[in-house]
Amino acid sequence: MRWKALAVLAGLVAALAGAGSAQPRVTLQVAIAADVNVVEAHNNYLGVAFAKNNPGVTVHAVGTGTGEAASRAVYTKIKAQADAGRRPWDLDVALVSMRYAAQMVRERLLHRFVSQMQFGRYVVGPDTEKAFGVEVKGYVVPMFKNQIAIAYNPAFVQKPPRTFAELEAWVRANPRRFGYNGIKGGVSGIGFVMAWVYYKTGRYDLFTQGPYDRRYEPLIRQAVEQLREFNRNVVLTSGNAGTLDALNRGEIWMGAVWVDQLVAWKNEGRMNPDITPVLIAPGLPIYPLYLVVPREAANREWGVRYVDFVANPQVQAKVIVEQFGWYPGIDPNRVMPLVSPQARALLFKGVTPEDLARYSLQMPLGEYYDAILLAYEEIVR
Amino acid sequence: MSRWERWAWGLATVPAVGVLVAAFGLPLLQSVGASFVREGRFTWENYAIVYRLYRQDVLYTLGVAAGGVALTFGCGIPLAGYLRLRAWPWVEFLLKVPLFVPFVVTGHAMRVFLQPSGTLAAMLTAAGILPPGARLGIGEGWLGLVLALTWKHLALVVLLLVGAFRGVDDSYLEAAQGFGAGTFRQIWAVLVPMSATSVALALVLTLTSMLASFSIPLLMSRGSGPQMLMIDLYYRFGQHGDFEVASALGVVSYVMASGAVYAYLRSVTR
Amino acid sequence: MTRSLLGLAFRATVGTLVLVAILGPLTSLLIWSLAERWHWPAPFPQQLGLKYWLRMLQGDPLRALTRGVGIASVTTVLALLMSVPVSYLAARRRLPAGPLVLALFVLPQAFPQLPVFASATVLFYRWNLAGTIPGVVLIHLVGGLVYAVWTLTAAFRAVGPELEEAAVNLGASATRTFFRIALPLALPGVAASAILVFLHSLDEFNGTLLVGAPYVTTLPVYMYTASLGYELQIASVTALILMAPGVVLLLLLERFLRAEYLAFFGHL
Repeated sequence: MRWKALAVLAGLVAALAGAGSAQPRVTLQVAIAADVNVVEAHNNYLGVAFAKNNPGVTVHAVGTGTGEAASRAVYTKIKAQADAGRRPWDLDVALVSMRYAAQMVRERLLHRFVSQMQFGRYVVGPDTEKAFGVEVKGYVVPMFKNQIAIAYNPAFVQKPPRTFAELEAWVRANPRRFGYNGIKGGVSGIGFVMAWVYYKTGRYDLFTQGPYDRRYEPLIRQAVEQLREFNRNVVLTSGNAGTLDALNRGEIWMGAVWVDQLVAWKNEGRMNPDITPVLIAPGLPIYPLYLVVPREAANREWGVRYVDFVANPQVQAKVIVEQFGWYPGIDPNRVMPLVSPQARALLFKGVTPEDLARYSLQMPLGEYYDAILLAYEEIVR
Repeated sequence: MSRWERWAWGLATVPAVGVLVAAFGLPLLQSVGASFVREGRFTWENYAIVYRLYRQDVLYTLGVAAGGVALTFGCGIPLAGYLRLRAWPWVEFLLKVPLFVPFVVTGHAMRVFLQPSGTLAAMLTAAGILPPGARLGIGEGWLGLVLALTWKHLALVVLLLVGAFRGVDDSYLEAAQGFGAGTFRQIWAVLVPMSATSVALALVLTLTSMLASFSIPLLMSRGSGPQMLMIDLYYRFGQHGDFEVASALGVVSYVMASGAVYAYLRSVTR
Repeated sequence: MTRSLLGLAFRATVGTLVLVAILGPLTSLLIWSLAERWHWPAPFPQQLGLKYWLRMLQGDPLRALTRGVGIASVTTVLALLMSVPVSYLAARRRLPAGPLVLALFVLPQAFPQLPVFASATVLFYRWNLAGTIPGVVLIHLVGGLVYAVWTLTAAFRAVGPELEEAAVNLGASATRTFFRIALPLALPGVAASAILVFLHSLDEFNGTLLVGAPYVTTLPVYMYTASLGYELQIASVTALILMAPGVVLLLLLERFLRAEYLAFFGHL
């Protein structure tokens, strides 16, 4: 069924792009700094469909691990080749976190390609313009967006919190029944910490728009000290998957998790289907994973075409949203009308489009981000 | 050996020495150097950061390793002594099994075994010892780590100690028996003192290995509370890309390992 | 009479404790590897099967396994070739700068590996070896050479110089003597050494995790990723596959493996 849909889709895209002429043999090297399911999406779905449209081209995606360390590995590899003055570089496309995409743009390691894409005009939103204070417009295409939300088990939580203040009160009343993964176990925990600082300081605009000023560090430290108190009644897990597992086993009743992994676990039948995500005020970060093309990539033009293929609204609707349960990376107004009603319902169960519009927050500027992490490491431990 | 042969043989040792210099010697020196540098300048700042952020973790690491050594030898000496005095082949075989279980696998096995609703909890529930749905807390903190480290290291310790104890001549044991010494008295009063060097060596090796353990705590950690030093190092290096502070943490671990370095160096210069 | 009864009770208690303590964690790997469905709070899986074992036979895990075996084979051959001259000279006390060189071959055992390998990763990036198979082989050679040199030195020492001296007295060159007498006599030791190095490389984790990133994934790294992602079935299957060769070896060869070889396994 799924393959038939993909074949139809592939044919459609082929007709659209007017491709099909014989092409030379090309192997696109794609590095994926994300979980195994994202690598699978590239190797088994996106890559296969792309190769079908472009005879002679194969897509070879490798995973580089999880969390920020995975993106750092990709960055270090590209940087080492740039520093050594070698050309061409062996990566054609990479999927990296916002933080390392920003760093690579700043260090001029990326190709500015979005304007050459057929679907480049659908690459919209504040996170495609600035990331951690770096001007990234034109260099990055979000493959999908991922929201951090509070997931709860309705068997134990009748009335989920709607705000951080309510969450704080709930945790006090139900010690060790809320979990998140600290700052060493991945970005969902980091995102929760950032959201906490936004909530306690009320200075979201300052932290995301700037300017950076060391004067605000006491403000941050104060918020993080309050987080230390909060953490006393919290279970800190080893990672996002650890939080999901603890939720699933009833060890905790509520936890901060990535929405996409929650959906993926449910799709695999590994997760109690009743667990529901909510977004609480003043909000939690949304964190895109960006597709980028290194400046000196060996198959740069094919890399651009591949990213263009992933940004195709049809592909976004069928693979990104329906197959994997992610939020679209490009303009949702172009993608959501193409998504089936069932998939729509699943995607927005618990977290509605209105919630997303209101409570999806950006990550802070790089300097504030580092300052918050350092304060956490020093104060909370 | 002719002169020509001597040269040829000398040359043939170069690849092995070269590999160790390039992949071990140089990196070791580089990490010591990097620990004193920040932004191209000599500084103590990396150590200041280690002190500020990780001093509790240094103590925690020492504590976990000390606990692990105590438990390992607390079990290992009586077991090895008993095995020396009385043959018990299948127990000796079982005790050797963890030798062949890699550290990462040990970490994962202990994780599924000890986690709050892991298989140990399930077994205890099935045996009626724990009420259904109960959770065990031992896998989460230092106790779980101590148990896992002991599980892995006990095999080597028993192996080394049984070997050393078998080197003690039977006549001493018979003499002790003649004075009415029981099994445990023979172990404490004869076997251990007569193999003191081997026991001390095994102790130093175990302690160092536990201080530097990485994959077991990596797989068993729960993200809160103090961490083992190698986890901090990996986090600094892997997530922050902060090679300098990671190196300072590394130098701290080298100092902790100095006992083993001394023991090993003595073994080759002897 | 009471004494022997007490002794029996003692043996039964200790034996049971050892059995449970050693086999408990390993049994949980087996249970998890067969659990097709296991929802909390059931104490045991609702459905057992070989689904996850079959999944090992394809895709990423199979690639990790074959790549790991390839890397281990190359590492073994290289380590043996490189360490034979060093060990032979060391066994005959003819190694130039002997103590210094031998120190180089014991220190990797004594120093904590992680900081050294982190530093090696930085160097390897400069040499364009990070994330490549040659880079991973090089890092596996560190441990591999240490094991090979010490086991081979012991093997050559056990052969004893008397036969060789006789051959030299009859006019054979030292090199010819080595190939005709010492090496053939030491072959069992060479085989043991090969097994050690191969297992070391197959199971190596710390160096591969750092130096292999981002492209080279071997089975231990794969198991780690799966375990942290709570793919506990996949991780447990991988774990069993990783420990199987060693345990089989112990079962078959326990009598032939000398204690000093076994001691090296403790550092795997």
